[in-house]
Amino acid sequence: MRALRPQQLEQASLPEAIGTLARTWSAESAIAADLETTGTVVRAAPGTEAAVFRAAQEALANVAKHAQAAKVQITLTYLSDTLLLDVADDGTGFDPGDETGGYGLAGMRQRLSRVGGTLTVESSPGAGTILNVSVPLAEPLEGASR
Amino acid sequence: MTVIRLLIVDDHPIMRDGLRGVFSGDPGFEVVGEAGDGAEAVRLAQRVEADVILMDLRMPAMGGVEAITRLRELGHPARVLILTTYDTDRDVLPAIKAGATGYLLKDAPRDELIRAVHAAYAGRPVLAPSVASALIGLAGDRGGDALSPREIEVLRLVADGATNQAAARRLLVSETTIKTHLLHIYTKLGVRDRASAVATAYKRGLLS
Repeated sequence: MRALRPQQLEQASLPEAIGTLARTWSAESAIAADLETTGTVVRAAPGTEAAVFRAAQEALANVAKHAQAAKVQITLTYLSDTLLLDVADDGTGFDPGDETGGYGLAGMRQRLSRVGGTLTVESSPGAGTILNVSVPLAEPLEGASR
Repeated sequence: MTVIRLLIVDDHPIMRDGLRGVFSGDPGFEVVGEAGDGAEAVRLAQRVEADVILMDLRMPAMGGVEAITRLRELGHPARVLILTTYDTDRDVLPAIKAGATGYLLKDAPRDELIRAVHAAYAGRPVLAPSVASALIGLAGDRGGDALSPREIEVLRLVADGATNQAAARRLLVSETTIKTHLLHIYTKLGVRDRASAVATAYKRGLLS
C-alpha cells in the first residue's frame, strides 16, 4: 500500500507540488515543461489531491519514456465542482485503442476511480498525447480554502 | 419626504391584505393598487405609476417572471421586488434574469420587508439569505454566474468557429477539458448549445 498522501503535498498546495514536480522532471528529462493553473485554487480532499498528483507523476514518466517529446504543457483547471489535470506533449503519440497496459494507465484509472475521477487519453500517432484527469471537488474543508 | 408608491401582486387575497397592512401603517408608503395575477399587474402598472412592485412568482394565468419581462418590454420604470415562498434556483434565476431588483421570501420579518422596498426603490439589489445561497450554490457553481477568464477564452475560440478539437489544440488541453468548460459555460449562461452560448455572450457584452 502506498502512503495516502505524497510527501510533496504535505507542505505545498497541489499546484505548487505539481510545479516542483514539473521542474525536477524537466531538469532530469531535458524536456521543457510548463504549468498553467486556471480558476480559483481550493484545497481538495487529501485522497483526491494525492490521486491527481500521482497521475501527473505517471503521465510525466510516460512522456519521458515513450513520447520523444520536446515540450509538455501541464494545465490544472479548477472549476466550481471539478478539478481537471491535462498533460499535453508534442511527442510521437499512439493509438489509444492499442493501449497495452505498459503505460500504467489501468493503475491510474483505478486510483482515480476511488476518488470519483476519470482518466481520458487523447492521442493519435504523430500528433502527441494529451492525458486528462477529471476529479470531482467536494465542498471545501472549513478554513482550508486558499 | 418621498412616498414610495407600491403595487401589490399576489394571487392570494389574504396575502395582499397582509402586505397592505404592513405598508398602509407607514407614511413612507402608499399602496396604489393590487393585482391577482401577472397580466393584471402589467395592466395596472401602466395606470397607477408604481415605484416598486411587490410581485409573487407563481400565479395563475401569468406568473411573476413573465410579468416582469412584459414590464421591461414596455419600458416600465418600476422596480420589482419578488416576494415568494420559493427559493430554489429554478425560481430565483429566471426572476433575476428577467430584471427583478430583489428577491425576498414570504417568511421575511416586517422590518426586513420595509428595508427591502426602500433598497429596491433606490435600485439596490436585495436578496434573502437563502436566495443568495441558492444563487451562489447554483448548479455546483460556487463562483456565481460570471464566466471565468478561461471560459471567456474558450468561448471566444468557439465564437471564431473553432471545433472542440481546434480549441483544445490552441489551449494545449484535452477535448475533455474543452467540453467540460463548455458545459459550465452553458449552465452559467442558461443555454443548451454552443450557438446560443455564443449569441448570449455577445448579447451580454462578454464577447465583442
